[in-house]
Formats: sequence, structure tokens, C-alpha cells
Amino acid sequence: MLLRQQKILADFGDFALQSDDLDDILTEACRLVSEAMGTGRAKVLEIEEDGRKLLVRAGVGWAQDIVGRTRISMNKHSSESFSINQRKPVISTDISREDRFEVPGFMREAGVRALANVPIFLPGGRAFGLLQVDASEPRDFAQDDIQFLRTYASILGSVVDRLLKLSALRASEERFRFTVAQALDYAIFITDNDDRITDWLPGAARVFGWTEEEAVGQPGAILFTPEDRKAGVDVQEVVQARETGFAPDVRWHLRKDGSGVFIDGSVRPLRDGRGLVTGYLKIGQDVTQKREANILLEESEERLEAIFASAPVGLSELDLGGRFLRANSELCRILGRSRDELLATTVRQVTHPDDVRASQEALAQAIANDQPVSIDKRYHRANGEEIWASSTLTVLRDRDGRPSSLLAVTADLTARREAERALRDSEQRYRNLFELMDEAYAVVEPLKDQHGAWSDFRYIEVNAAFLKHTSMPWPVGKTITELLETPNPRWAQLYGQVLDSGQPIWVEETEPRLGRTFNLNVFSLDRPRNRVAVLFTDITERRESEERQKVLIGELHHRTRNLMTVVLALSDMTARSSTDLDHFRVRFQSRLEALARVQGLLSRLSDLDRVTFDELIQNELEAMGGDPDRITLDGPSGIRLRSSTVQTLAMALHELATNAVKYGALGQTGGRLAVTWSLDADDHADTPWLHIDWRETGITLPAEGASSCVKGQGRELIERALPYQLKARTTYSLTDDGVHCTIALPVSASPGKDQQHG
Amino acid sequence: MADPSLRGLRILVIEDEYLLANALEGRLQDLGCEVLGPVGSLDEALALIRSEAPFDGAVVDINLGRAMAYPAADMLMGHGIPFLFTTGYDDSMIPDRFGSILRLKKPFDIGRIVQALGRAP
Repeated sequence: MLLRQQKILADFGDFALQSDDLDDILTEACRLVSEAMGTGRAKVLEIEEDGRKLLVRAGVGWAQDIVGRTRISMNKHSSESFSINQRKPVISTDISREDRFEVPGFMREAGVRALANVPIFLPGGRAFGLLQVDASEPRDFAQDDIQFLRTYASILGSVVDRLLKLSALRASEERFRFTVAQALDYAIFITDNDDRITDWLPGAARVFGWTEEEAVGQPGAILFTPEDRKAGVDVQEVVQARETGFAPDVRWHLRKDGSGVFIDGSVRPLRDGRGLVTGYLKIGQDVTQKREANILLEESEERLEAIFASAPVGLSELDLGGRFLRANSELCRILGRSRDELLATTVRQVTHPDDVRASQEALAQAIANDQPVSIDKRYHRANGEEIWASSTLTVLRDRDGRPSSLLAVTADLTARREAERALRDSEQRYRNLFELMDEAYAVVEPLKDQHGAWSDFRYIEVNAAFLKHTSMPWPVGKTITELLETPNPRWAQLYGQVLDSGQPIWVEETEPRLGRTFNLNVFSLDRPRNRVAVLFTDITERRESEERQKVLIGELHHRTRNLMTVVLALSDMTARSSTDLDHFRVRFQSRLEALARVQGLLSRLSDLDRVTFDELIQNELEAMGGDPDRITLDGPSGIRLRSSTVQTLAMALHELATNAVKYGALGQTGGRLAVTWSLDADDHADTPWLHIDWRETGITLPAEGASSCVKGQGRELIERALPYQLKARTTYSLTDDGVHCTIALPVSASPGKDQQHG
Repeated sequence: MADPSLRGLRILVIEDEYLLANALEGRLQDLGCEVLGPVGSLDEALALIRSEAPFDGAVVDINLGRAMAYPAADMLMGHGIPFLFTTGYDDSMIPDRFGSILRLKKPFDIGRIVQALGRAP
């Protein structure tokens, strides 16, 4: 048995040396072990990387779906884990009686009755896994068997270790090989101690154009330009590398065809085990295109930088947190800060507090959406001024496409906004002015007829006063012809004329359809668009008022003249009946006073008012100082006298009152005066008549002669003047009791019907 | 004061203001004139001209209440009777045919009427 086992170990050694394949070796190991143990079944379990499971890495006597696939959990109830942790073989002689461990289900199902676990350790002590021998019958593994398995497992550990290292090396080499093959931009070659090329890799062939056969054996200097060779650059690099361990090589080199190739590379010395330099590893990248691109880029960047600096808009580059990385002069001007100030701060810190939130949101949005974002917001300058600016943020990305910074284009809105606001304010002021002013304002568009003559016009804009003055319905958009249902060629020509000449005109016009007179100021507003503005006032009332005033002034002159005429006539009349100057003076003065009283009454009246009879009689009797106790007035009040009759009637009443005071009822102690009146409209068709009855009683007639001439004049006025001038009917009688006088005259029928005349 | 040249002349007075008419009448009578009227309305004036013409002269108040005295003036012209206008208004719209007729604005001195009548043809 031992011999056989030893033979098996030897066979395995041969096999292991011949094979580099771990799976083949492990499978062979299982076959040999199962044969040696006579079980027909054995397997190798490998600890997986996570250390929690064991993979059935190889096996003999096990189905295909077990090997390479089935895993056993490494828990505390597993004999496998116990064996690995105790670093010793663990035997289950009969798993049906096993109470220490749980046996995996697939093994019970496969009819395993006994098993031996032997851990496999790699050199250095790390556990690789287990060698597990499965028996289909209960079996008491002999001590020899166990020793064999232990020996076997340790050989296996060495073999596995070698194969794992080889496998790792291979993988590494493959990666390296792959990298070099792929990295054709990299010229890699090795020179010997005399700087002769010994190894020439594909990248070098591609970069410099020399094949491996051509290059090997050549001095490294063949790759340098004649100028560099003359200057000894090739030698200096090698010397520097040998002395310092490294020499950069960034310069133009020569290709086989004589063209230039720009190499960004280095030289490193290669040393043997004793540290002596045996050669040089030269690695360089062909950056010719990159360099050209860089030059272009640099030039382009310079141009961009120039544009950036001198752009008429504010430009800045911000980091993703809003910190200024760059800022041009215009932005410094807009924000009222120096470049140093800006570069030391963030957008947030120069933004008006009320706009910070919106600003931050815009920043985040630009970064998140990869879309330019615009925002109008306020900034505060270093001097505290507030300004409006519009910024557009565009995200800039690095080579991997990640947002790296933001470009902000900032335009100063303050000037624009102020101009706009000023315009708006101004417009509003004018609009208010136009709406509030009493002058009508309209913008019209004069229209031509088919013959090219100005014939109509359309309202474009009107103010409130326009509507008030014209009493028109809403006219905007309509033509005057539509509005008044008839053309107004006069105004159409007026507006057209202003448009043609560009000269403003002032004119007074009457619109017959509206019955109104307007004072117009027409001026050209916008000639290219056929717009004429008209400012006008409705002067109808003013004109009418002026007319009325003219009439009134005429009337005043007329009245004054008439009054003077009457005064002259009165003086003439008085003089003719006066005995001396004193007599004249007293009576003339009394008559003038009466005349003045009635003028006073008349002057208080407006056009439509009329002096009433009760007013007139009371006024006269009061003025004459009549004792109210002796006077009885009886009649309807409010009887309106014709203005043309008032003066004459008043003078007649004055004569009656004068006589009564001097000689009659008002002058004597027992005298009484009764004035009664009534209105009688029956006698005459359309004119009411006032009937006045003046009756004096209880007086003693004075001596004959003393008052005859005086009485004569009062009587003359009653009997002649009233009928002559007022078409009155009068009676005058002197009875024993006193004077009895009746006067009937036409009076005003209704307000306003009567008119004054001279 | 008396003007012998007016004595015996027949003068029509058309004046609606009684006091003025009365005063004129008195002055003319003082001068030895025979006064026709005075009358204060157009109708009376026309009636008097028809019944009394020819006579020597007339004083015509243009405004007679609501009527104008022009028909009476026309009639006087038709009879070749000299006359003058009196008026309380400023140069009112007096028809051209009366352009040569003397106008006296009220108030006027009655003496001027007498003078004017004395000069009238």
C-alpha cells in the first residue's frame, strides 16, 4: 500500500512538472488520490475570494454539474471549515452517525457515507482549500492513509502555488504585451551601454519608421536631428540619465524618411544585479499632432483671450460654486469692482440679496441641464450702487464630459433699463397729461379719395377730453364719415394739408353737424405713417359767451343812453314846472332817486328774472317813508312785470307816492292808502293784465292852486305816459276823500317770453 | 333860444319813450312848431304820415319797441319829407339807403335836433 502510494506521489510529481494547467493538475490529483484510497471519488475544494464559500474546483467520480459549479458554505457546522480553521485533517467515518458536522446535501444525495478533509496550504501558510476523499461506505481512515493525504496535500500546495504565480505572471505579461502593442504612439526601445539599439518594439518602428532589423545595432543618435547631434544632445541625455537616473527627452527627432517627429519622452538607465548600468530604456510619445494642435490651441486661446479681454460684454469663467476664475474688463466695469476683487469673491457675494436665490437656481440649472440659462438680476457694486444685468451661463466640460466650470456672458442692463423706464415714465406722464387735460387730443390718419385728394380721416387715438368735447361715440378706428354719417372735407383737407406741408396750423372751425366751434392746433406727428395730431378746445360756449357778452355790453350802453335820455327828459319836464331853482332841485332829486331805485331793482335781475309788482310797490312806498300803519297793500304776489314797463310804471307810482306824502293820505294824520291789485287774464286772449287800484281816503284837500302844477305832472304821467308807453288804461280822479287812481297794464305772461327792447 | 326859422313848421315826432317824446314836443312847441304826434309805435307813425303828409320834417326813433322804424322812414323819403334818426344803440345795422340820413345818438341835446331840423332841406 505504501509503495503504491509513493508511486502515486512520484507519478503526480512528473505530471505536475509537465503541466502548466492548474485544472488538469488538480483533476489528476483527485484521480490519483481516489485510486490510492480505493474510493473512486475525490475532489479539491478552493476557498473563494470572499472567504465564505468553497468551490468544487476539481473532482473525480462527481457529475459534470458538480465540478466547477457547486459551492459549499463555510459555516461553523461544516467539517470543511473546521478542517481549514484547525489546519488539520478531519475525518467522518460514518456521516449517518456524525453529530459534529452537517454534510452538504449534494454529497448525501450522491451516497457519500464517509469522508476525509485534508487542508491545502500554499507556501507561506495561506489556505488554498481542501482535498476531500469521499467514500460510499462507512470507513475508518487509517493513520497511514491520513499521513499520505497530508503529504499529498502539501505537494499539491506547492504545485498550486507555482501555477498560480505563473498564471498571474501570464496575465500580467499579456496585459503588458497588449498595452505595448496597442500603444503604438509610444516608441519604446532599449540601447546598450554604448547606446546601441538592442531591443526595438513595434511602437518604435511605427513612430520612427525603422523596422526592428534596420534599427537594432544602430546608435541611438540616428534618431536625433543633425543640429542636436552636432550639439551633443544625444550624448548629454544618456549621461544625465546615467548620473541622475532620469533624463527628459522632449524635442524634435528624425524619422527614417528624414521627416520630423516631436517626441515627449524620457531616458532611464538599466542596471544589472550589481547596480552597474547595462543600457538605457528609452520611451517617448509621438506628440507631433498634439503639439501642432497645442500650438493651434494656444494661438486660438490667445485669440480667445484677446476677445475675452476686449469683448464689449462682461465675460467671466466661474467654478461650479460660482467663484470667479476669470473676468474681463467689461465685467469689472459693470460690477464696479477690480479684477482682483472679483477673483477673490463669488457671484453670490456681488448679487443683490433679493436675487441671490434666483441666481443660485440659474447656476444649478445651467449645470444640470447642459443648456445655456439666462437670468436678469441686480448686482451691487462696491460703492453700493445697484445695477441690472443680464447673464447667460453656459457649462464648460472637461474631457470626460463632466461639468468643470461655467462661462458667464453678462450684459449691462442698467442703461437699457433706465432708458426704458425713463421712456415708460415719460410716456405715462404724457399719457396722464393727455388724459387729464381739458384740451381734446386726437391722432388722426388723413385719407385720400380715388383722385388723390384728401377727403376723409380716421381716428387713431383720442383722449378723454376729446370724447367730452365732441360728444362722439368711441371714434378710434373709425373715419369721420362713418362717425358723422357725412364727410367732412374741410377737416380732411386741413389735416391733409398739415401732413403735406409738415407745418402746424392754428384754426377755428365750426362743425355744423355737431353744432360746435373748435379751436384747433394741428401738427404733423409722424409723416411716414400719415399721422397728424390735433389738439383742440371746444370754444362753442366761449364763443357763445363772448357773443352774449357783446350783446350785454351793447344792451348796457343802450340802457345807459336811454337812462341819460330819460334823465335829460325828466330834468326838462321838471324844469318846465318848477317855480325856482330850489323847487327844481328838490323835485328833480326825488325823481332821480326813484329812477335810481328802479335801476337798482332791474340791475339785480338776470335775463329771465322779472321785477314783480308787489316788490316794486313796497320798494317805492318804503323809500318814500310812508307809515306802514296807514297803508294797506292787498294783492297777489309774484306778478311779473315786463322789464320795458318797470321804469315808467315806477316813475308813475313815484309821482303818486310823492303827492300822497306831500298832500295826501301819507302826509295827513287821518289819511289812509289802500293799494289793491289783481291779475285778470280773461279780457285778453294771450296777455294777462294787471289791475291796480290806488285809493287814498281820510284826507283834507289842500287849498286850490298850491299843488295844482305838481298834481298836474303826476297826473300827466298817469294819464298820458302810461297809455303812451305801456299801452295801459288808466283813470285818475280827485274825490272829496282823496286821490283815486286805477292802472291796468299788460304784464309778462310767462318767464322768458318777454324781451327787453328800447 | 327860439329859432325863427322853425316857426310854423309841422314836425312829426316818432319816439316810444314818453318822457323824451314829451320833452321834444314841448321844445318844438316852444319854437313855434306844430308837433304831429308824438307817436310811440310804427303803426301809429305810418297812419299819421299817411293822413298828414306832406309836412315839413320828422324826428324818427329807429327802435320802436319790438319794431324798427324803417318802413316809416321809407314812407317819409317817398314823400320827400326831411327827417333825422335818433337811436339808443351804437351804429346799428342801418340799411344803406339811409346812409345819408343824420343820426343822433341818445342821449342828445334837444337843441341839436332843432338845429338839425333847421338845416334840413
